[in-house]
Amino acid sequence: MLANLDLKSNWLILIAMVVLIIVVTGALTFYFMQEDVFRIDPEVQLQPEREYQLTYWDYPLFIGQEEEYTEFLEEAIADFNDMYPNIKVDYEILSFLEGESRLQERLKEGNPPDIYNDIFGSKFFSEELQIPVNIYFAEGDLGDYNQAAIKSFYADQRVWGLPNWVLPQVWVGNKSLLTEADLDLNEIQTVGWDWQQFSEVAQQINDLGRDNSIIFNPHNSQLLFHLLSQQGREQFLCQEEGLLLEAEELKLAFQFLRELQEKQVFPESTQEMNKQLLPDFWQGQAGVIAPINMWLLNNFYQREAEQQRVDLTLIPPPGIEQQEQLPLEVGGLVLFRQQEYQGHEHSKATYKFAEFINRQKNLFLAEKLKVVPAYLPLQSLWAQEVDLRSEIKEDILSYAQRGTPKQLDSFASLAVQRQIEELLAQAYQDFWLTEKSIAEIVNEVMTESQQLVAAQREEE
Amino acid sequence: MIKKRIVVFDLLIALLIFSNGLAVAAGPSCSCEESRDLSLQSPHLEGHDVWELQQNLKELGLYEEEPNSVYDWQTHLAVKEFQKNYQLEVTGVVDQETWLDLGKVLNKRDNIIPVSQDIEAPTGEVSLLIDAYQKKMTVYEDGEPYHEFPVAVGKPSTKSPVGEWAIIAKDAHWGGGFGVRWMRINVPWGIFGIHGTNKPGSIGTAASHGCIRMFNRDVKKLYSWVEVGTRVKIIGERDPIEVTHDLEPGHTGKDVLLFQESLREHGLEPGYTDARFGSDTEEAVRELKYIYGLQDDLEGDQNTFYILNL
Repeated sequence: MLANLDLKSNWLILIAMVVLIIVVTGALTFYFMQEDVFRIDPEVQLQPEREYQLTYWDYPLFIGQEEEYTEFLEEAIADFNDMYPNIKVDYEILSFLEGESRLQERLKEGNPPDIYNDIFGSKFFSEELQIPVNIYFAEGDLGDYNQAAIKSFYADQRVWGLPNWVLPQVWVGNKSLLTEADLDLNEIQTVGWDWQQFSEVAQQINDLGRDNSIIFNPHNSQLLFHLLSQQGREQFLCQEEGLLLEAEELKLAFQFLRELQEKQVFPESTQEMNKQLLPDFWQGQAGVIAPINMWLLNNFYQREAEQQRVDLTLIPPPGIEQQEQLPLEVGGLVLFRQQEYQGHEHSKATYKFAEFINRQKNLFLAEKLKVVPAYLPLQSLWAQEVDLRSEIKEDILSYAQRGTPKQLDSFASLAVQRQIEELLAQAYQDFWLTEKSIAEIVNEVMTESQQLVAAQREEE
Repeated sequence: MIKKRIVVFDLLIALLIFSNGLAVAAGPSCSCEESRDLSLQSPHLEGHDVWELQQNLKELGLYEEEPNSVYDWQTHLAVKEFQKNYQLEVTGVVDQETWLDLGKVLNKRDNIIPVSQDIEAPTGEVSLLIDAYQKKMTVYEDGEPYHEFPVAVGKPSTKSPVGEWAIIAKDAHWGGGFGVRWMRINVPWGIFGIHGTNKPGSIGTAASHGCIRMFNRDVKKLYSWVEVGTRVKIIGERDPIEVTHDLEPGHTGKDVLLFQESLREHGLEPGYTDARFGSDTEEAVRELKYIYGLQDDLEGDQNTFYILNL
């Protein structure tokens, strides 16, 4: 009996020791793991007597009116200083062509600006130096943004920027040609359309006149990303599962383009068709043109208002099946700390200015650029005030609610995701501008993507 | 054999130096005409100089018709009246002296006077702005106005070339019937420059074939202030320009100039608007196409013309 009791207590001691070891090692692992993550204290209070000096990098968003834009920025900073006179902001206007590479250089040096206006929608730059903004969010803040926009800045369970605006990735159509081709515009704008429908409409537009056509720009691979997105492929890579992009999706996208080519719905020289993008549209010969970015779309709005020769309409890119959703572009403010950390107060001051621009000043920008504000309390005001035809405005708002952005699951996937995007961009050009077959192109992309993923796994 | 080689070598060197000298001194080939004596002849003398004479006489109220570039009876009478009014020998012949006398009278009336001789040369970087509206040249030193000169600019049918140019050749010995000094600017169409004039009455007016005329005394001063490479900006009216074809790197012409100006209005930086599609303009096109997602090549094509509203 006594021996039994001893044996039992020995077991208990052993189990207790094992549990203790597990708890202690677990706690230590957790502690040291946590030490690896740079922690910013969002609760810190700004000191009214201390001066905080911030740098803000932006682009001359009002094309051709740089002075007006700098005036806007200076006024915004002055308004901000009414509330926070001790937070000084120096701004720098970047070249569109070189802005992002300059940022990358500064990141390498560990000295990025405090805030960068990410108009090109790159969103993720540096896990180490980028500040997750959700740490500063009050309860309910997250819900105040377009959720797709938040999703686009979301990775590793954090939100890596303040979304400023969303822009559905629409294609531009000639309303009268599309209507003549028996397309129910209202229906496709509401519930979407599929490749088969698009192909038939393209054929009919082509049959309406010798010079009528569809024009895709062979040099802008966004169109391929639209076709992939419309197959549900917004993310090409996942940290856990590896490569998500599938050969079949890519093949189908190219086959769709090939079918259109074979139906001769494009101008005779597909290699040069991009040169006819604008002239053919404005001369009423192009039924659909794509892809179109924010600046070009604004140019279209302006020209349409001045000329009114061609009624433009915004149409969703077709999907492999009819579907309501469509790709969404999101721009926003990305916040950084520097390698030589300037302190929690500095980071908080950075957030305060970014939040001010994002919520207080963004309406003016969104109206001027005709993009939908991602901060929802601004949307109804935007809808009232933006200078757009009501039909276009309604379409954009509807598309914005149904948009799905490109996504990234983790910063660890970032480098390979970007490389895969480059491969896809090259593949798109190869399709139009070389003699390579679809099988060859798809095979190249898939092989190289798999190699990239494997190499990344090895590194890990 | 060696002697022969030396002679050939010397000849080559001489040719090189001489041809270089010729290139720099290639002054009088601008469209300006050398002065000639004007008088009533049969058939009547015609030309731009007659037009200028009629314009001068008209300004003095001595010639009432519209200048027609023909030295006709009316012109002859007006010349004689001028000579009579200003106590000159009444010959009806317009020679160098008559042009100078006309200049003196007109400039005195309009209070246009040459620069004072004791002004010092600017020490910083010099650039020139020629305002064809005001008929005046402003010399800038390090971007700040330093001095102004009255000038004559191209007449409405042969306007001075609006754009951002540079002096590419200087000739101190240019002159004769034209006026003194010559500074050629790099306009790719025609030959244009800044020079003195023997028709001082034209200063303050739009009278030339496109060149910028200055008082001889002024141009000597300016000549010593500028060098090859000095920037010359001309503003003023311009005949409409039409872009009729795609523009490629290396192209030159008025259409390139308009393209450059439009790029700049669009917030891009095509470099100097000098009608040359050079590397700066290429960069501006690259940026334009990048912004608008066209991203194909560096040509000024129909897409870019639509965007720029050309």
